[in-house]
Amino acid sequence: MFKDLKTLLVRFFTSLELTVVLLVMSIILVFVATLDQVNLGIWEVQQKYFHSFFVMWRPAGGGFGIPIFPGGYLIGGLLFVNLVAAHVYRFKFQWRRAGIIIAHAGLIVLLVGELLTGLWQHEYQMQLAPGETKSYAESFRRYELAIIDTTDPKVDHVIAIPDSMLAKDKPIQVPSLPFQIVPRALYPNAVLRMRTDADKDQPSLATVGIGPQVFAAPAPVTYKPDERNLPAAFVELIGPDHSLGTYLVSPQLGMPQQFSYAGHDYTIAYRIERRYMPFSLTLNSLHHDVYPGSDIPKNFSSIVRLRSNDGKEDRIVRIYMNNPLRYGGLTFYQYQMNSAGTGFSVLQVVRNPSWLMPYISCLMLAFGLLIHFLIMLFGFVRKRRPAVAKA
Amino acid sequence: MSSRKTSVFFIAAAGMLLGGCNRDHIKSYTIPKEKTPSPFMGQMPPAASGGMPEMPPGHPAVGDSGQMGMPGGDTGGGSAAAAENSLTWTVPSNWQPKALGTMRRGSYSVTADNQVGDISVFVFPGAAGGLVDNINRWRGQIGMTPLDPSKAEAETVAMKTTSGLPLTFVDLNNGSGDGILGAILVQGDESWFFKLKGPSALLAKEKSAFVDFLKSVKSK
Repeated sequence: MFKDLKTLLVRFFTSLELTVVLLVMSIILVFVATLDQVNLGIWEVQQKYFHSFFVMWRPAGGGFGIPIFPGGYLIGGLLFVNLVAAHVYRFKFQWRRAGIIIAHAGLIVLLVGELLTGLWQHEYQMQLAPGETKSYAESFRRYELAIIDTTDPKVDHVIAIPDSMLAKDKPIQVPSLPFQIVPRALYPNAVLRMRTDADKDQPSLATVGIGPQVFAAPAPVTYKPDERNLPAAFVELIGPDHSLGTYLVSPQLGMPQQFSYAGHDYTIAYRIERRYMPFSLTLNSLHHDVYPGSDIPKNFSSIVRLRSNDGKEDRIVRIYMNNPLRYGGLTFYQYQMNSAGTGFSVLQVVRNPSWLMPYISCLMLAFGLLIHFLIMLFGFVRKRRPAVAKA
Repeated sequence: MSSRKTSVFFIAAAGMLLGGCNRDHIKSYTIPKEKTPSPFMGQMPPAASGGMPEMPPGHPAVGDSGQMGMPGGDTGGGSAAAAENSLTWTVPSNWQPKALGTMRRGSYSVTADNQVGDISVFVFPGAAGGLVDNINRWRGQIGMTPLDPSKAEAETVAMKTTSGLPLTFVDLNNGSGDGILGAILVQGDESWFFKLKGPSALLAKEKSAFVDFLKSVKSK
């Protein structure tokens, strides 16, 4: 019985039919996802169709999703299993098939690389005005609730809670904080304005800080690539014996809100997610070169000073188009620039530990195909020689 | 595949997936004190009605100043402020463009005698609270008390841009050195707010440039 099942599974996972079906499904997935970019924008489409095991359909008003088509991870994962299983069970190693095996191994590296990129790649941006120094980059889309213990006169202790945890509606307990954080409401996109007499019949959830004076209303979530959602949340802080109050937090509020508890000073802010680095960048100058006699951009470049916290690194780097700075596992690309007035430069910061895998994969594919071609060529020549000799 | 090989494969796969889950963890770290409270500054639309409530000490005026971390730049890419404007205008040569926030459609600064003025252009759908409430909102931003509707309207000057668009202009001075030159333009179903805020001495010098700027406003 068990053997039958194993044979059945092996037959299924090694079958060429599975390969064909998966390839057809991936074509359909790419086609539908491309069309849906009109509605959702590229980022959301990537999440919905490719960085998921299933494409989910969420009925309006329902909090649940129904899987309607396999997602990128499932199709890619099955292709990976299919390819590996076929090699393990079907192919017997022969020198004359070495090229094909190397090419297939390259394909496996490509699939694994794409999975790792989806799992591990993080993208941030870093906006710098001339003379400004920063040791952190900010996310393009993600937000975090930052509770900072500012008691120490020299350093700040930061607790950063991702917005996905605020959305779970469960109390959050952080060991180093003497209070619980209880999310009361989260608006993924919100409109904030000053509260007026007309809003009296809709009392605020907030009880402390600036919140009671501000009216926050949920707004439709935007999927446009050139727009950004500006969320707002109500969070209650509860100590062991009493509530510290409910705060309205939002990146739309001008500055963090302050409070003191148990002999410590804190600030609370809902801000763009930050990634701190063990080094800092200072923008020395920015250059927007144009072709002589025209406004046509020729080059955008930023001259930055890179200083590591341990003092081992202190150098000047020029970052310009197609010439990023790679340092500390991060890549800094020239992304945007505003050269009007004093101006500012924006660097795109990418962390992708698996960035080399597509290159390795392409080399393996090319090498494998070349070997296969040469083996076939030599075989053909060898076959031809006796025939020619006989003639 | 032997069972040992199979388990190694699954452990490696599980490790990769767990590695990918890191992004949703609470982070805890220590950093040197930062000088500025925060680089992310939001914008809020004006109140639908009523005056400006009291802000906590040191809090920037809500709906007035600051920039969001999403820049608009020369090189394209994402910008929430890159929405299509239905109006255009000519900026005086001594005004310096600033980074647009998420809400600003125009953002400039002007400097004279070591004094700095901030020029902003906002657009909101509908009447955005109406003329009187918005004048009182501006009055609140420089510490002036709100006025009755009839008195507030008496402070305004009706003018027209060169292309014939009607504007309501207001010149506010709080008597202790700060002021606002403002104008509201209702265009279709949008209300446009043009504002120069700064020291009164600077406003007196820049008033004619600001009026020229207002007159240059036209439909696209």
